[in-house]
Amino acid sequence: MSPILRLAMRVLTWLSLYANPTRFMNVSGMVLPWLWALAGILAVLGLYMGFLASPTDYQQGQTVRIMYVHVPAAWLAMMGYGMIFLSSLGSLIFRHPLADVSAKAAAPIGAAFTLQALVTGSIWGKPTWGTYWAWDARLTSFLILFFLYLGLMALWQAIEDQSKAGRAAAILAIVGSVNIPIIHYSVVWWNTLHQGASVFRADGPTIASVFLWPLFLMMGAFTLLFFALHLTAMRSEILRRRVASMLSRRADQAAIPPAIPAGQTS
Amino acid sequence: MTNAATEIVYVYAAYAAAAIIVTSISLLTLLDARRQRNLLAEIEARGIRRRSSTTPS
Repeated sequence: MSPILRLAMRVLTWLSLYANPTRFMNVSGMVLPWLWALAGILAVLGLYMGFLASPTDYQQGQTVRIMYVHVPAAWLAMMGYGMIFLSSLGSLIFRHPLADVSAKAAAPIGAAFTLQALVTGSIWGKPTWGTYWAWDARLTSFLILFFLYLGLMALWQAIEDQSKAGRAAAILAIVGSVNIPIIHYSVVWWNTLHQGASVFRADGPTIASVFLWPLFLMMGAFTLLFFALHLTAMRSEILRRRVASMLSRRADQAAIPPAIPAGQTS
Repeated sequence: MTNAATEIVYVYAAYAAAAIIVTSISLLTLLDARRQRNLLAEIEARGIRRRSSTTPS
């Protein structure tokens, strides 16, 4: 068996182990306080290094510090969509009970980080490029990503039957995933105002380590925050579905007329 | 304003925007979690149980 296939089998086994929502609630309940705490510690360290222990850039001056909130948000906007894509596959192919929940829970969080990347990027653009916005390939494809997130959220709200909503949202998410490589390679395929990749490169980052350390700390903090928010939102969605099923079961029971004991006539 | 002062205004604006967005999504997520927990507790207090927790009579 190839190593990739073996890894895939191991991931599937792990996923099926935690497919039970009750088990997920127990495990996530134990993990969450650690995620919040670690995210907080990394954020404090990242902000300290970013603001006090790192120099200004020789070209950008102080505005280089915007990178520490812009790049992590852009990374999470893409990672969040990747998570929705995988969850959608899990929902459509494997009918994994938590896949729908994961996809639905990730959409508003991904949208928030996409908005953060767009707003902070726009503010960074003014002193760097001389404009808040340009319809270049990277900025436009990122705006489309934001609209995709909003579309997924709207779809979940528009269809009352959550299993039908899940299927429709999964199809939209998979079709929309074509935008992810477009975002990543937009700076290579087209002539854009946005600079080329300088962190996620095959030959390693091209940023000086004095800027890279605070950036990695902030990326770690934001990523842990994303997972903390995602797990919290998944737990809420499980409870929401539990409440809905309990109420619907109660309504069904109330609608069934009481059984007439044997031997009696109405 | 000097160049450095102008630059710092952009930095503060970006961090303020990030703080508002992160705080908003965190609050919305945590408030929804609390609302769902309270709703479940309220329903259970009314005697409605999950299918898995009912014992066959």
